[in-house]
Amino acid sequence: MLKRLRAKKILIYSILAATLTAMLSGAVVTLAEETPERSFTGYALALPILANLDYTDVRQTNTWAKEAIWEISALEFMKGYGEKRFGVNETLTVEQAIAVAYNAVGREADAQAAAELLDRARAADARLYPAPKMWSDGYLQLAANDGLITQQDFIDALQTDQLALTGDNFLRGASATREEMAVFLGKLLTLAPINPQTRLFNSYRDWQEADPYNVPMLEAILQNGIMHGDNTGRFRPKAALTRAEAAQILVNAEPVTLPLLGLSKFKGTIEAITVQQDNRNGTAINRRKVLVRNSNGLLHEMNLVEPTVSFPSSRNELSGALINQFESVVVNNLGSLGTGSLLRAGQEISYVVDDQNRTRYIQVAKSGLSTTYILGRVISTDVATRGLVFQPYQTLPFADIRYADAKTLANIKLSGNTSAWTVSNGAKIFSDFVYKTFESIEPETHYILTVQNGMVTGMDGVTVDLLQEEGIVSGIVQENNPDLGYITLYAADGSGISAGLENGYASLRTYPYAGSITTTRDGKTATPESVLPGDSVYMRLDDDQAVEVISAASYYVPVHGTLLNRSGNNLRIQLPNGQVSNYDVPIGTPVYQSGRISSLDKALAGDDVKLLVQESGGNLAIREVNISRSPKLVDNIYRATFENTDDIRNLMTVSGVRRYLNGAWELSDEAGMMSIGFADGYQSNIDPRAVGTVFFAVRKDAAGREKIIKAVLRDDERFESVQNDTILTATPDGSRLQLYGISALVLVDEDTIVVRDNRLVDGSAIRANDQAKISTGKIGSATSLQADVVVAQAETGSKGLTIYRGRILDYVPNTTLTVESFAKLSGVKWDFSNTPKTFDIRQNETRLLEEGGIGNMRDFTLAEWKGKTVSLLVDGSKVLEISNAPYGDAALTGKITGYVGGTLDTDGKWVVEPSGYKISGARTYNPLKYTWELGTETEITLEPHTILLRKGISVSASGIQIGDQITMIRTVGSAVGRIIRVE
Amino acid sequence: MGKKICNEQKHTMHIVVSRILAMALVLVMLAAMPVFAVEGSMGYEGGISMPDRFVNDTYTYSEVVFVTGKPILMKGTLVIKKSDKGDTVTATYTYKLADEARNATLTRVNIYDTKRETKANGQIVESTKLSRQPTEVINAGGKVYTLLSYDFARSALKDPQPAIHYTAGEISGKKVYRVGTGATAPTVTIESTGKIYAFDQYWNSAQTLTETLQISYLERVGTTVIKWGGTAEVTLSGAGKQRFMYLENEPYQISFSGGYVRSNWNDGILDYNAKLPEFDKNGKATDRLLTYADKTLLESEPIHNRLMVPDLNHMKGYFSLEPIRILFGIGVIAGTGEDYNPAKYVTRSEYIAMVMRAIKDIPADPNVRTTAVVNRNRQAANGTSPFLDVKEGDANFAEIEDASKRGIIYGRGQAYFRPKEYITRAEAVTILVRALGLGGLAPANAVTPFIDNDMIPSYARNSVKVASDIGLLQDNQSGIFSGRSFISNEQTALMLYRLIVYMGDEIAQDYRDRMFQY
Repeated sequence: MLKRLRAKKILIYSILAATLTAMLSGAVVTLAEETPERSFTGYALALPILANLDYTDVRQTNTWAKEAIWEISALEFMKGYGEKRFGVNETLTVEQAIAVAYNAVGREADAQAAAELLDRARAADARLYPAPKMWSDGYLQLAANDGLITQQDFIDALQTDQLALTGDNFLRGASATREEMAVFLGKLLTLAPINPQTRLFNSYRDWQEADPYNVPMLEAILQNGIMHGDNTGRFRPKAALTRAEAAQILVNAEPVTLPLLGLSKFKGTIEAITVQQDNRNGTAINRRKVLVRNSNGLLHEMNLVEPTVSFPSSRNELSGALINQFESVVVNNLGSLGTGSLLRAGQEISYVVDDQNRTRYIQVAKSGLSTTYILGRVISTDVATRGLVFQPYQTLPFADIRYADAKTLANIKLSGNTSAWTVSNGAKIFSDFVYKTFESIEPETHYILTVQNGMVTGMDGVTVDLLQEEGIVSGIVQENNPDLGYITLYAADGSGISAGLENGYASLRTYPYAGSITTTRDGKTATPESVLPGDSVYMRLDDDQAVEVISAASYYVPVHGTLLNRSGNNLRIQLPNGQVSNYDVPIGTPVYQSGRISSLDKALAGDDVKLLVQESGGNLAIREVNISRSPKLVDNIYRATFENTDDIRNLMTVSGVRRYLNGAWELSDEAGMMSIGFADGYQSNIDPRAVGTVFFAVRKDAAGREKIIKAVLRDDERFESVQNDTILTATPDGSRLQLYGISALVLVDEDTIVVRDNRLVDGSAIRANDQAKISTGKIGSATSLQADVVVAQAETGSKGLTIYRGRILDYVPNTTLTVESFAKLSGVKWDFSNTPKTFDIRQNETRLLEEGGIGNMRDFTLAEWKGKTVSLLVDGSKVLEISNAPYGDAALTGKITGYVGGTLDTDGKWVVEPSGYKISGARTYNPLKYTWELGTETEITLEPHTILLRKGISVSASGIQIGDQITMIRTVGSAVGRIIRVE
Repeated sequence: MGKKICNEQKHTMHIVVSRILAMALVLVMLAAMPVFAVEGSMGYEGGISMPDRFVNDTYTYSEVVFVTGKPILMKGTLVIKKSDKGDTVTATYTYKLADEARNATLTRVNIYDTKRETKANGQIVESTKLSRQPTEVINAGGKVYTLLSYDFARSALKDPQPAIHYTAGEISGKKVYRVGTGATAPTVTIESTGKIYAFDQYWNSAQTLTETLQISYLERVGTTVIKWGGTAEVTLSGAGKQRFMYLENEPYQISFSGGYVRSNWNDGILDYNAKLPEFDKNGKATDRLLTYADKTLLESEPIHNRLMVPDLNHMKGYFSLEPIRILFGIGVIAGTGEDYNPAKYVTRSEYIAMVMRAIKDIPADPNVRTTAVVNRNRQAANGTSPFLDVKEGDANFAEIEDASKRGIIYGRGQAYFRPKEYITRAEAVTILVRALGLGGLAPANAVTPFIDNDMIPSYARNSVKVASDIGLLQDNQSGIFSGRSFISNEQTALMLYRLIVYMGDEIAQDYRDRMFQY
């Protein structure tokens, strides 16, 4: 886990500090394997020593001196009594004390030599037995030589009849006092006696009990930390020395004694242990390699050779069987003795090695690896000792800057307190995601130290600006809960959506609301509620880490698509890549069209829409809906005989073209073949070699050219019919329609051209009660009809425009126009009302039509117009047009087949508007018979003040289109239209 | 932070490189070059243009003139001549327009000075002024409109990203015309403000100008003042389009089975929406407002280019054969295909080479006449590799070097590019988004929509979010990005194909279709 965090953090920093300059993800820099500074073997005598020192009276008690006894025994400073007994609380005799002292300084061999010299001088029968007895004399001889005892004392000591000696004599068998031991050791260690009585010794309550001549040496012993006195403040100089005490004293004296013995003691942490089982010599042994990170930061290696079977070995050493030389080590693992197999990685150990690079003794100080992470600043480094002086800011639970308490950092005060560390030679030092050498660490840089068992084993450079103004956090909002009053951000690097570990961080990224919060969003004052998931926020925290100020920036992404369907506030939108998404537009979301406020009702199926959407996690916020300014209307629908398609020019050639007009397939302008291009982005799947009838819908492009937006090829062998009907029911996907007029089902497939409200849609947009003109085909004896083209119109309650005629009574400029009495055009008849009526005049909208053309309402005066009869085109009560065209009450209907007069430019746009129309199928209304009779008119004429209406909208002359069925009001017998309208 | 400081250096280096490379590329790509129109080729008078294929510097041009109070669509030619003097570009725009059906003509000469200043981050700030008194005469409706004064200002910011140069700017102007002659002749004042957006790159370029006009007429007859006014919104856009089509061979006995054809063409759309007073039969303005809305289009004939047919016989029926074929055909995937293994992972070096061949170089302004001096010493200096582990002569050296100079790649740190290592999906996407320069679309610490968001390396999250928003990752349907996985030849092909579709078509929609839509 640590490793993962570290890898991640490195990346985070790079983003945070915007220093990402490398494609980094897999950056692996391999370091050469570290060469150990020193290499040690085991100790061949480890197993026998271990066998000796497993004292029953030590192991089974809780003596405080256990560690010391084992250590000095393992190092062979003191020996037990044999039979696995150390004699913990027994006192040492003077001669024993002397022997112990000599052994501790490594002069055992000298003592033996002196003893042998003495012994040889004795008569054979007086020679001493067993060996220790003889050797004692040697120690005494040395003691006399070295001035530990006087010559007289030595003579006393060699008295064979010791019982004859009195209290004034030197008694070798007497218990040694602590004072004596101190003096012996001090002299042997050649400590310099400290003569002027300094503080230490005379601060003991019983200092006056000591022999004044010994006081300087006692002071030296105390100052070297070899002896300490008891916890009541007494040194107890005259107290007898126990063997346990002696053991501890020897351990205390180790800093002085070990170098004399060619021994060195180190502290370190085991980094790794590898065991290789060696079967090569016909027996199984373990070669245990222990890598120890020494406290100086360098690597030490121990190569131990051990039996694989549990100790003691069951092999018989006298059997002559092949025995490997075991080179192990005595290990004291927190109170249990053993060999190298007790060692574990992570243990903090002290270990003693000798001058032949043999490991003699290992004591485990701590069983596990204790790791702490400290964030702080480098004060200085010392390359020679790999020393680091560091100013700690705070400890972190992991080597991860995200855990840093920003507030503490912000309020950091430089106390001057620093800590010094040794940096492991194998430490992983990162900064800016690359390994760094220790030498390249610069002062005043920030790192997170990984401290393991007191040693820096890792340094992670922090490249963020750590010390900065307090209390500002930033990130992307994951959750904002105004009800419960908290806000949660994603992690600074954008992570934090996974379940599991990362989720655990959420609490670290959650901030409660303060009492009142100042909020701005996108630079405008806002409420905390308006901060949405996905917003980028900066937040200022108060002293309690609660959010006081939120400054949010939205991140809305435009979503473009075509509206397939709208039900209520739900928009079903087809995205450019073909996917269909549903969006619930919250009530109150602004809707715009052409940059103006509009409403969702204006969005019809088939329209293009643009939503501004902020999506984050499972949240989706819609800021606004834009409806396409100009709807993509279907301009025409054709059917024709399919000829071929041209892939290269992207067009289709057809013949026998007919146009779908008001539910009928009418002849089109084109005779013979017609080539028509496919619209951009439309992919036809018609086989160029196919045969059949093709139905296609077209839309004019910006240049006014018709382009195919959908085409479908149908078999010729069908019975075709057009249904002009109202939809009774439609399945939700629009695939099956039931009509009022016929019982047969109408099937709509995905190829069917469906047009609703002039927009190309799919079947799902068809609704019950739609007015529909459906061109269908029936195959053979099928009972259902296959729809080729569906043109549907939503049921509209259009009020339309009304035409009145009346004599002007009053006019208030730009306000109202009143007529004395009026007639209202109803169908083709005028309904007369003998009452005045007042209409509204609108400055921007009311238009005056006169004989010569358009008049000017600015010149319209009551004086001139009072009493004149005018026709009024009225929307509600609002006058759109005032025309002084003469009265007409004869009606004519017909179909427009062409224009008369006018000129077109090369683009087909009108330069001069047409002055009349060609019509066919003229019929005139006979008001007497209430019947329509065949007419002979083939052409009708317009005047500048003719009122023209098409589908409820006032249009210009060219606004009436070929194919339109018109109703014209005229003066009887005249071809001049007074009012022409198309419904 | 160090990025910005060294950007300027990077940019200047890039110019040197691109000029040299451009020569080489022109030879190879001449046939494939679409008709190209840079920002400014439509002028700033509210019209659209299409380069004349036969006459240099000449454009077919259409503009709507509102000066009479009724929109008149005039068509004709625009000739643009530019001279580049380093920090100043002088451009002469000469218009000759007419609407014969309505008996209207227009002649106009505008000379602009554009000062350029390159900022520390490589962005170029431009400011344009008229350098000489412009001339303009409009004949329409039996009247002569003569330009009396013209205040014009344009400012723009060009952001040259590695694969695309983006431009945004605004123009404002005030024109006063005299109607007829004489000291008391009426005047028409047209005040305009407009916004310019454009991008240039190899596959496409687009420019959009949205302009708002205020038209006001003033006439004094004795002590009487006659005034009318109107507004117009004009949206202009020009962009390239491309289409890949597969044509099957009709003869059976032919060495290849069929092939792709790439078609390119340009179009320009003019769309206006004006509210102007209706004039009465005497030509006097009424209070009634008329809304005029129309659009017109200029379109170039498409240019077709056959693409090489790779030998992918061993991949018949493979999932993504089509994009792979096209990428071979347009030279993004090197080679002839017979040893193409779609499942093989792509190394960093191979990937960069493909990306560089996909984004190509940004063409220079065709109207500028510069005597380009190619310094041979500089060419020699180019041989220095930016990375310790990429040597001259190595495979894809040129592409890696170019990518480094254009700021698309920085290596994996410590001057190592690690060309032979496999590239991860996160790296691949980051490189694409960096090339497009669109990292700014999403917050720096964006949260991606993928299920494995947390597993995406944090440096890549912004790029992955952007790539997902603009549709480069469309082929990833599983919702898992797996940023640390390697990317195969096939996935690379899909991504680069999406990139080319994006650069060739989709990005232009934002600058063209959608400008008209909302």
